[in-house]
Amino acid sequence: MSASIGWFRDGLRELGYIEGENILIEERYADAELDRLSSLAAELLRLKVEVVVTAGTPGVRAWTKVTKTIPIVFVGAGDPVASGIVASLARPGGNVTGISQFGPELGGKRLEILKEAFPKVTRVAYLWTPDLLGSASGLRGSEIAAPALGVKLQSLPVRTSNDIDGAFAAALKERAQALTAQTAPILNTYKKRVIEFAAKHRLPAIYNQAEWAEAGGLMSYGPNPRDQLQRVAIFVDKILKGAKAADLPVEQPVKFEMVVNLKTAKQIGLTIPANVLRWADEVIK
Amino acid sequence: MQTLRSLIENPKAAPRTKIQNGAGRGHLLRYYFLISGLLVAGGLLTSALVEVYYRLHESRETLAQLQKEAAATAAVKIEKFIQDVETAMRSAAKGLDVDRQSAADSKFELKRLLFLAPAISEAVLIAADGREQLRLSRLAVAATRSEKTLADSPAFQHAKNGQSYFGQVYLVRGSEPYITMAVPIEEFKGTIAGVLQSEVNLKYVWDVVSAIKAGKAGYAYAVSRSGDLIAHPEIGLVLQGRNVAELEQVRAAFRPLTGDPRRSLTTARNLRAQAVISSFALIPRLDWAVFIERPASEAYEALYASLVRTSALLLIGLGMAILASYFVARRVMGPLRILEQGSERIASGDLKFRVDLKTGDEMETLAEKFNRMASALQESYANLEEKVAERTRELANANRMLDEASRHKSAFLASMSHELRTPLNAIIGFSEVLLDPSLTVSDDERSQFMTDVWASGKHLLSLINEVLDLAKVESGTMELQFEPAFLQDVFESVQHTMRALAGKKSIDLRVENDESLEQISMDGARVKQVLLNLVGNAIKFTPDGGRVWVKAQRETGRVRVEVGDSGPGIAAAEQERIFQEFQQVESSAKGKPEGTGLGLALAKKFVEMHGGEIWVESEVGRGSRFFFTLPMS
Repeated sequence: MSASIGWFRDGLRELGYIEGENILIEERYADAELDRLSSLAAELLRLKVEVVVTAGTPGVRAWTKVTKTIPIVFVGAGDPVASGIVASLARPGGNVTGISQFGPELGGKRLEILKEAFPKVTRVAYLWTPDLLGSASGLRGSEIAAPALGVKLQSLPVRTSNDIDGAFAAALKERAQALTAQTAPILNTYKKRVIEFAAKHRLPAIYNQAEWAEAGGLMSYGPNPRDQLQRVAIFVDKILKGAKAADLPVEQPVKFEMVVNLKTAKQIGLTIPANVLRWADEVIK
Repeated sequence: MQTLRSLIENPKAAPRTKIQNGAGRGHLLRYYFLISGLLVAGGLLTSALVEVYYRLHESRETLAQLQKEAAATAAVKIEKFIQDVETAMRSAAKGLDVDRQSAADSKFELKRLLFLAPAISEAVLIAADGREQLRLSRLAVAATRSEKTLADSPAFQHAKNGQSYFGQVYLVRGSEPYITMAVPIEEFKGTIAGVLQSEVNLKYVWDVVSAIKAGKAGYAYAVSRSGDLIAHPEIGLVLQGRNVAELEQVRAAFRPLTGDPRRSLTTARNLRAQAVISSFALIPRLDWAVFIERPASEAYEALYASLVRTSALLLIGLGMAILASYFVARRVMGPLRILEQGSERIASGDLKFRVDLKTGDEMETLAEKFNRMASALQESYANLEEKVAERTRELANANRMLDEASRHKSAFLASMSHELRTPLNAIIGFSEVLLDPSLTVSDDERSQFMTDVWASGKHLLSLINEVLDLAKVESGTMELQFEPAFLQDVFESVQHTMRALAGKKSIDLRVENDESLEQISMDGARVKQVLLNLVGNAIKFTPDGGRVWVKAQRETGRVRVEVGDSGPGIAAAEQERIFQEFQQVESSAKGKPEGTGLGLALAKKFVEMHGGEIWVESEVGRGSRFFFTLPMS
């Protein structure tokens, strides 16, 4: 997430905030250890923060446990309504608002892109984290889209770091032909391992964050993160100027990017067809 | 003076004079100050008010104009955005062949459309009968040949007729504003083979709208006919599906055009109930209205600033005008007061008082003239006094002269009566003796007495003649008979008459004739009388054996006659006196002299009546020379 905060800072700067002069940013990272989130939140609370920015639903949860008044702006929550962190997208209602991520539907879209690039794929391994609220609906979204695409999903739930290897083994056992994964803190921590696994077994993979593709994943399709974090900065600005989180509707991303890592493709020995590559928004060579 | 003073000092006590061509006493300063102050103030105020009124009017007009243009420009931008999407769709439609194309090719076309128009999040290819052929989405999986029919949808029906369709705003998931757009797919012009429909995310319009700025805090927003917000700088409002039909300006925009189109500049309230200046422009194709709104305070800022400036200037101007009027009035009043006081003092008699006023203007001139007037007054007063003194002196003189004359007359009368009585007494006396039978008088005595009576009578006669002559001359009734005559004839006559008298005293009487002298216009008898008197005097006063002469000398335009003697002379002090009536030379040797003392006076009168002069040149012990002149013409 380190790049993200850079974009966030850029966004703030564009709005006239200069760190040290009129704004202070306190960063804390849980590094996929969800338990730590609560204590980090409490710590920041003691520092008397005025606005909170957090990525992902778990972060929001940790915060809403410790405060019902300090405004919380989230980014990257897949389905905020389903996960219960907001009452509705138009009127969040509480002290939480932010930018969602179109979790459920995008899953299907990703599968579609995967299938387009690799038409022969029929079995796709799907890594997800059941403990994360909203992630189940994400899986469901992909499961609904799969049959029409002629694809069968293999659900691989991951709860702890121990589960990763097991998941990999299960995928191999079922002879998965491709890989996809949800965004989740725990999976983020093991990004490298997942990517390496896919590479090792020459599995085409599509992820939902450009970061993964940049890190070596084959493809990604998801909202433009820079765009999102600049929108977060605008939220923060509005709140600092007096707007209530309850009145600020949750925004949904409008720009989606497809990123293709040709270097990885070459390494793995996979070929991305031209008619898919043509539409890539970013190609890593 | 007292009344005036009290009036000035106590104006309330004074009867009020009407303020027509001046102020009541003592109010001049206030009056002029007020008048000039009011005039200037009135002028300034009027000009300021007129200025302000017109500027307000102009500013409103200008503002209206500017904002209207800004709204039109914003509308153009928004319309362009939508039109660009439409153009992309039409372009895609050209590449779509509903019936004969492969799914892959159609997919490619739609993918390209999605690439060209980021605002489109979903594109649908619809066959001529309304069935969905292909659906491509950024978010969802593509769908092909669903049995869904869209034949009844307004989008399809509209596009089927060959026209682009722009639908109403709807919200996805309750928070995303979209409109449906549709364009016909034509095999060739006029033949509709299908419809291309897309869902357009209006958040992209938000980008356009946010970028539109009006002044410092102005903004633009777009609204559909139903009042639904299409785009607004506060995207939250749009995402909440806010309907703004309650705003007056929104209702007014969609009302059919009535009345004055210029009235598009309205002051209204915005969603935050702030007062704003609102202008709009319509996008008829989409049936949208685009508004430009600026906070009223900001819009009028410049105007208020200039109003404040004008007011401040006005106040300053007024202040200066008042000060100026005051000082000007004072500048006039001060000198006026000084002059007033000066007049008072002079009127009270202090003629030496002068006003000291050095103002370097007309007031100073006036003061100078005032001082000159005072000086003239002082002078004429002094002159008057002098004149009075003179007149008094003259009067005293005249009185003295009158007294003297009266004394002379008394003296004359006294002398006269004596002189007259003396011969009369002699005549009466001698007559009485001659008539007294008791007295015996010898013939010689009788003869002597008769001679005395005759002499006395003659003396009395000459006396009376002289007195009468004098009286005539003095009363102005003496008339001279002017005739041309020879002076030498008169000389001869005189010489003849005086010879005997001169012989008696053995006085040498010489009369020189000048044969060359022509005739002179004169009263011969009177001139003879003058000569007789002069010569008679000369003989009388010259001792025995002396000399007496008469000469005539020609001078320019006149003849000078001289009668001289070798007598005792006449003292300078007597020389003027002797020409006066009843004046005779004091002669202690002889006692009271003979004669009336009238002879010289008469002579002087006669000479002067001829237009000549008479005078004497004499020194005591050196004889006398009497001169008189007669004009020749």
